[in-house]
Amino acid sequence: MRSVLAAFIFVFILVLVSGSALADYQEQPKHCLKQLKNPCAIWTFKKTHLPRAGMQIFASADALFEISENSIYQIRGMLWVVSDKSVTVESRFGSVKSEGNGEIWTQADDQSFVVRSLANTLIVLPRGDTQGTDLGPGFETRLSYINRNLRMADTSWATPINLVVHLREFNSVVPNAEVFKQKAGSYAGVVLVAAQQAAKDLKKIVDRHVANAQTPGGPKYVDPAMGGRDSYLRKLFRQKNNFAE
Amino acid sequence: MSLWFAEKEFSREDEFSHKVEKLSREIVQHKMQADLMRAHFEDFRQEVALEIPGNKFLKPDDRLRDLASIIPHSPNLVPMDDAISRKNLKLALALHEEKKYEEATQGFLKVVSEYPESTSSLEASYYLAQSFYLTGNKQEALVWSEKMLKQFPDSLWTAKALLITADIYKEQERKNDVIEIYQMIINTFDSAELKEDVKRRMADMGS
Repeated sequence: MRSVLAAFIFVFILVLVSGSALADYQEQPKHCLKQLKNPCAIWTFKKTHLPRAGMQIFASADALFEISENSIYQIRGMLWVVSDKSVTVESRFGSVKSEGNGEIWTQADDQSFVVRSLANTLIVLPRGDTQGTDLGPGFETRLSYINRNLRMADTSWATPINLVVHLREFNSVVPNAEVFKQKAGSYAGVVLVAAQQAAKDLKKIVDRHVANAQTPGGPKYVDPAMGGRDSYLRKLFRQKNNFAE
Repeated sequence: MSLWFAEKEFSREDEFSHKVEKLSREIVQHKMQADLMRAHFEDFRQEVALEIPGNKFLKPDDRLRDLASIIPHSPNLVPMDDAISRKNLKLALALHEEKKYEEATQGFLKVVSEYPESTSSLEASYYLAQSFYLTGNKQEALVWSEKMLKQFPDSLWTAKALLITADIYKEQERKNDVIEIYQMIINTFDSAELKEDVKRRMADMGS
């Protein structure tokens, strides 16, 4: 009887010790996700899916972010947020908002905050900016440190998403292969349209430059840094030498 | 009897592994708290950077100077980093005492570059300027003194670094610049001991 009891206690303890595996994430405060406390800080140890208040949050490993009512403050890592209502993802360099039924992809680290629009138009608001700009589907932009001359965060041009890079990063967030295949197909179409749009816009800019160069009287386009000085010197030269204007 | 000992042994090991697990969880929690604090501070720095125009030169009596001086320096933000940086500073100071200035310079550079927000980075910056001066690298000494003046304009360590600048100018026979620096130290810093030292130096110069 005594030996049976000892064996039972041994097995019980063994199960207790070995059964306590590492959780997928750490919450602060404890149980804040289930109890819907705000803000709720999450640090993920592996790629994780967290549903919360209508949002589906997919995070990469070693992601750190704070969830509030309808917004997420992202500190590091990659996030893919799918929501049927308006949601904002913020960082120290700015924020991005999706207005109803959309997806946001963001990647944050100490130096920059990358935003990719995958399905719907997003509104990107660099820190210090008051108006925000639209980011169409298939485009990405990067926010960085505050530019003290411009009084807002440095913002890169919106460029078409590099699908090869994105799919590699998407793999570190998406929970399973089925979702990956389904989304990869739809993203390819969106990025193709974006690339074609970007190419058209670039062509317009180039055509404008060519047209300027070909107009009678020479190119109207003048380098702003040089234009003012050059015209002043020309005027002075004409005056000094009594040339006609 | 042997079964009883085995049970006792298992329960002690179990207690130990529980303690280890508990400590690991606490460490993870503390690290998360530290990362969150650092992130909020970095956020605040960006907010402060918005308030300071890029083309504004900050004069000594500028009110914005107080804001600017907190941008690179945050004392005791991450206790673990602070402890490590203090240890590294001690090692470098020991080398400095033994007059091994080349190795001490490397040690001070490590503190300043790897732990810029620790409480030791200020002292390390001053000793870095001094080490460069003592090894004959006057230009680097001037560069570090100037950095300290920009980043920590209110610190007494900066005042000491300015004294190194004055010594370099003295060697270059730039008497007016030396007097200007001494005057700036007297007007800016409140330390009576420092002011006495500077007045003595001025008296030695005969001014």
